[in-house]
Amino acid sequence: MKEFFSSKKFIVIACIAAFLIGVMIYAAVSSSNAISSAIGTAFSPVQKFSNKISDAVTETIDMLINARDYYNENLALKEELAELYAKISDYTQLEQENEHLREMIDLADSSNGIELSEPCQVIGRTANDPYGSFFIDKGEKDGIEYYDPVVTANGLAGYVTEVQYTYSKVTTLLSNELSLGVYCVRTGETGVIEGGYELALDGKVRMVYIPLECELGEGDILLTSGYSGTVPKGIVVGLLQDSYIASNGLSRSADVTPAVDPYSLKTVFVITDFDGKGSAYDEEN
Amino acid sequence: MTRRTDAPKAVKPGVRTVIKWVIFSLLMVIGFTTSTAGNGGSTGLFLFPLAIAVSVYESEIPACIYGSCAGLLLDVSLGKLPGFTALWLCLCCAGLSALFSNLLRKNIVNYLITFSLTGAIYLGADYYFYYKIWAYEGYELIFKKLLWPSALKTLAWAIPAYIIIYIVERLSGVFRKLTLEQQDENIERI
Repeated sequence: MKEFFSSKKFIVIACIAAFLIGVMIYAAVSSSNAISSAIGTAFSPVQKFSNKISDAVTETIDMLINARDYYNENLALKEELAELYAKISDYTQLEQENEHLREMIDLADSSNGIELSEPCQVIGRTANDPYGSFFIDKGEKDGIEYYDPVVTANGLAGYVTEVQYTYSKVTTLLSNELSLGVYCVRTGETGVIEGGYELALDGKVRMVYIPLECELGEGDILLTSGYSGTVPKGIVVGLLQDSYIASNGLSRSADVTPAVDPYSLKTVFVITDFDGKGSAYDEEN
Repeated sequence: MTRRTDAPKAVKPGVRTVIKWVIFSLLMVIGFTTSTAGNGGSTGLFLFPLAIAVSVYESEIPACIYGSCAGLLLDVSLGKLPGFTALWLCLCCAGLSALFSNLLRKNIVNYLITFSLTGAIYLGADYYFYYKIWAYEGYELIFKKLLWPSALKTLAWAIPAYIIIYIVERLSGVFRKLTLEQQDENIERI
């Protein structure tokens, strides 16, 4: 035994272990993570390639297994489309009327000065993450910054929480690390969206701090309030499900189904700039 | 009875060793990409059984280095503190390599037993340090719905990982042949 502890083998193994402990301590105390960054940068092209293969295989298997379901869904969608075509003429009329009214009151078309990145491809996912965080193929070199909101055509997907030179990590709305101010389109009532383990496993988040006497109902659409300065106002967050009195008895809470399912994402956009970005942070300082 | 080494003449042993480690490295890359590909959720971790399988056949230092590298890649793919899995795999691979060199027979049963033990301790540590200790709402469900399915998938990966490493080692190693020879009267027997 004594010989083993004085052998070269033991010294080498102890040195490697000490190096790894050093890496752990460095990663724990420093905000930047050189090791993860180096590995991630080196492997991101491979990840991109393997993700494409994985997607292709998954899609092919899915098509073969669920062909009947897709056929039925297609028939239902055709019917729905026919109904929507019928409604389009009404909407066009309303849109023109709305435009005239806007001109009358001289209201500028409000787009919040949003600047979007190029389409970002999802190149990988964090293994065993209950919140479904993922990696995108755009990073610091593409103008992505920490806490930039990530969106799709359906709504808000999450935030950028790690930026490396060639890739970034996106934490989804399901995460318990994020809190986001929202309001209801129909009633104008406000609240805060937050995630949790239990909810994330069902693909939901929770809206909290809703007044006890609220008019919110199932199916109400929730939009970002934009007060925090981290996300522009008016981006769809999700649909309200059932609401209930919170455990403290002072307010109500409600389950919310996010507009974006993080597990099915292939391409997203990052909002790199918008009017009022970082305003809340600037005020604090 | 004598023991002699006999190897295919076509490729030199040094080249075979290089090819073997290139294959091991490629397997590591495949293991990393498979854990980050797909639609997320509970994923089997191919790198963990792979590192343990390598330590069955390799000596302590190469096994320790391979385990450390595989661990670092696992940490990145799992989004964990870099070094958390690496340290565990570094120590496990070195220890298991010593065990398989001196005490245990190199077969799939012993491999599965040692893999299950090291995996179970890692699973417990992961659950404790990343979920239980913080006691966030619903943390108990993580074990049932995420970590346990992932552990079973990783266990399923263990057999193919062992078979691949076994084949690579067989093809690249110096084969040992035991042959019976005629009795030699000149040998002095005590």
